[in-house]
Amino acid sequence: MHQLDPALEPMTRKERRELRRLQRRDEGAIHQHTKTAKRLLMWSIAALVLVLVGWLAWRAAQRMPVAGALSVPVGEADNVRGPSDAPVTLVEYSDFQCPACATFHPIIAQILSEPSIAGNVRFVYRHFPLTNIHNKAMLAAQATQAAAVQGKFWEVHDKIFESQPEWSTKSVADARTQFLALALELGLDRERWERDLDSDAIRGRVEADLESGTSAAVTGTPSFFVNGVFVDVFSSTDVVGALRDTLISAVNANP
Amino acid sequence: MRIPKWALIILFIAALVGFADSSYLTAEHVRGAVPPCTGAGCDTVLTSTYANVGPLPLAAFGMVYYGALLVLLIAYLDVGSRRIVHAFAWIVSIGMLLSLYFVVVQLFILHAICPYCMASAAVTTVMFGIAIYLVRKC
Repeated sequence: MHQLDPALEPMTRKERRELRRLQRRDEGAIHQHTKTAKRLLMWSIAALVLVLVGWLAWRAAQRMPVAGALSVPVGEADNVRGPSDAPVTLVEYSDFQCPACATFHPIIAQILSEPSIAGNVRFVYRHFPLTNIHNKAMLAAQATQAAAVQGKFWEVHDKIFESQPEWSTKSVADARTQFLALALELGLDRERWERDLDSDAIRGRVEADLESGTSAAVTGTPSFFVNGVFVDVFSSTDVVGALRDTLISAVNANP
Repeated sequence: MRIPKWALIILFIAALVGFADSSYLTAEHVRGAVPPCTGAGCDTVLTSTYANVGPLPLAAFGMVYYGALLVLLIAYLDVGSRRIVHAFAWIVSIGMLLSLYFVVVQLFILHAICPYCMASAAVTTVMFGIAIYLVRKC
């Protein structure tokens, strides 16, 4: 072993060992510190990303239009039932193949016949065929519009809704046969009805309704508008009551 | 054994997509709206009795589920323990079973499909596959 200057060697071997141990501990602590900082950073970034994603999703939801107001006012071309000078107008966007719409069909008739409502409300039916899930919705809409040419929209409308359980499970061709039988039963001119059924004019008429619904942010059927304002009946537990109450208060507000 | 990098990346992306998806649906629910997927069955599915547990939409549970998975992934990066991988696999397995149930409800009971819900089921299926692989290997 090396001889050292006694002045520079105040430490015993034991002391040197102690010093080295302390140095190592300090290094360890520094190492520990950076590690903690890294972990902290990682968790902070993760929390930030979570909040950011949540916020973006929230913003995306806010930007989507909510059905609020009718975009195309009720006009000459519309299928209207009830007094034309009624103070209250109920517009329904509907799909003949949608089960909820068929359920609503008798309910609407019943509500409209109530003493406080009858005579004060006109009902407008607009087509909103959900063609992606209902393969015969477009055909049914065209069938009613072809009947409208001969002044029998509502007759065919009623029959098609009433017989929905029968034709909705059939093939498109069989449903077509059933609609024809129905049209003949109502005394429609067969040749004319068949020609109109597939015409561009009738198809365009249905698509115009669909577009007016889309621009009013209608996303599903049935969707109701009372005097041009969307009524969110499905957010209520009493769907029918919500529709009836809105109509009654609209009638009371427009004597 | 460590989780391979590719698996970690896929799991992270999947959990984030799931989280964004369920956050979006929760936001729509809070706002009282149905996402605009005209023609698809969003309205039927999201307004059905199956879409809520009590007052809470399923999407809110989805947020908690995907959020928990993300926390577990970060925790794995932090401490790298096998127990975390196992916890992750358990949670994803429960998610997988529930997703299967929801898909069956959509296809056979409601006869309508909500793309946002199917996306969530797809994300969970991917995570389930990876989780099973990891548990077998680790």
